[in-house]
Amino acid sequence: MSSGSGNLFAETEPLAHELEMTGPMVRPSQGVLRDTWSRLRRMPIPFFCFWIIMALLVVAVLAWCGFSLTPYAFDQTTEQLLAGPSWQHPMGTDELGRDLLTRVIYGTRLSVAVGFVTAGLAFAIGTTYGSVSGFYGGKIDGILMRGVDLAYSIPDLLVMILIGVSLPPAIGRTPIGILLALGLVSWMGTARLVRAQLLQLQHEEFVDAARAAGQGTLNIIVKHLLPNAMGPIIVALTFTVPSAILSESTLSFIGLGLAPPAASWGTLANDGWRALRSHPHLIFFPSLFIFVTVLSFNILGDGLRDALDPRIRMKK
Amino acid sequence: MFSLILKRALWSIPVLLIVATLTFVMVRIVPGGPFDAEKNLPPEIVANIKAKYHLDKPVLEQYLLYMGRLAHGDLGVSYKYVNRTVNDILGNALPVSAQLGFLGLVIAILIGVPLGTIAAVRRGTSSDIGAMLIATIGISVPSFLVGSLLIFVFGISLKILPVGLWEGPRHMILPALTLAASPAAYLARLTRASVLEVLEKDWVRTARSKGLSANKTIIKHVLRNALVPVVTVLGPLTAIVITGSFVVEFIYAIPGMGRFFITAVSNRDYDLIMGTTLIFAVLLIVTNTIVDVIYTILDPRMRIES
Repeated sequence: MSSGSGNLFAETEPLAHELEMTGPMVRPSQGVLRDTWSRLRRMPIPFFCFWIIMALLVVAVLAWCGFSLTPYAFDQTTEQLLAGPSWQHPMGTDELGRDLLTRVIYGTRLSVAVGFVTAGLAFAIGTTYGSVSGFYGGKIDGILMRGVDLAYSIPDLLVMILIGVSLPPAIGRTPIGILLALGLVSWMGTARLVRAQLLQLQHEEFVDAARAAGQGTLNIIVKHLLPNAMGPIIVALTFTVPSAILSESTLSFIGLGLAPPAASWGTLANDGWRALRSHPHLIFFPSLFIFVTVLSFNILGDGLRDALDPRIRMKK
Repeated sequence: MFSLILKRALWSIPVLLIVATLTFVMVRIVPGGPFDAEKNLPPEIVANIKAKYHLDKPVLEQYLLYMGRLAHGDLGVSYKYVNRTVNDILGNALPVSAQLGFLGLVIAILIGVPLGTIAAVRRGTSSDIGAMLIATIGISVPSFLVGSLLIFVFGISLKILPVGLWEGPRHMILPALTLAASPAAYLARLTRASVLEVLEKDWVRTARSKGLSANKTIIKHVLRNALVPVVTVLGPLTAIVITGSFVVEFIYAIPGMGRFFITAVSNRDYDLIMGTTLIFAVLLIVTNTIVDVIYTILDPRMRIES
């Protein structure tokens, strides 16, 4: 999402939206998004977090495109080794004299990409799994949900480390290997949610109507059921992004994540860890970025959930 | 209840077999073995070492050999820690991790449950917002940031607590706090949601209208019911604590399971990886069984069904 899509939420033709609202068959997702957006705008803290995330995305995209926001290059060394924060180097420099702010900005690329791609993977796997489970119900549902319970009770890090070691080194500790591992441990929440939504929705009249109109199973799921379940799914994905960022940085911090020269906030924190006693700024700044990003996503997720749930809104 | 426990115990055998097989295959399909990183040994000596540990045999034969030893409770030998068997290493590491995990869980419950209850009872007030802000911060902060801040403040600057190792109660304070941070926050959010739901119930209104004080209602009627979902997350909570212990043991140089697992993975210490994974699996099966037993005790409806 860019700031442009924010306007997209706001600029929908109210007339078409109201017309569509008369029948339950195609509840306009645009309208829901617009409502949510206007409600979110009235929540100061989540709205502020939304803009923090947008700012981080801009920084990450600029870094991908090669625009450096600092006068230094990613690997450029200077004369000052292990300097503390100063006007010249706002976050100080590392043991090779590289500007830490520059490295953190480049780390944003990988950390943010890891978060969003994992959310995409969780959406793909979780939605498929949950749709099958919720739509067919019964025995299939029972078996599939036991699978989710099982996957939930295994420590993520254990699975990720084992996947990491069993992939060939060429992809094992690269961003692709990490994404594979993260995708495999992040889909369960979405699957549970989609299943619950579908179990609830499939008794609605619009499903009967679609079936009576001769639509196939796949069509009913993709065109009728999932769009109606989109709100909670988006909320769940908002929580998947920060937990993926946290998992990746934790894995990299203990030295089993991304291998050098790839740099994420986690690998930077790992570099800084060794110098905690003498140069705490090296671990402090990258960790702070992880914390602020993850916190922003979590607060935004809470805000979105409240905005989308009329029951909670009424109580307030 | 005994039939439940017996059923779970029987179920755990195929589960452990699958876990053992999967891990065995996973660690062996990778190129790179336990003796690759050594100094340049003559190929004959490497071949001798491999023959000693049966690593020169076909994978299927290695698998059968391993499973045969496993059936006798022998987890094999470490390829890196000189003269130590995996049983020996894990026998020392498991109690350390268990202590750390237990302390972390207790602290998490002591912080999380009251925090969530207060937030729910005072919904919408500044104490609710404050408590939930703390909880949201708690689930957002990477444990290595908590760990390094605690070490920096209490270990390096104030010099009042040791910065690492596991040699007595004073060494346990910082690691246990670091480990407790994220499950405490998770519990606080869960307890709040659960208490809010119970507060809506008719019988809470009845209890209040018959003249029971607010505090007594909450302790006697609300919490007893609200804590059922809290108990059921003990399984995922154990998973969180194990994940947390990887980082905490790494940060504080604690000789526990998590630390041995990490080093075993980087060293390709096959038997040690297998042993640690299997112990984790047993641990998870045991917690999940305990959860189910507690659940049947707390909720009589479950007893009738089974």
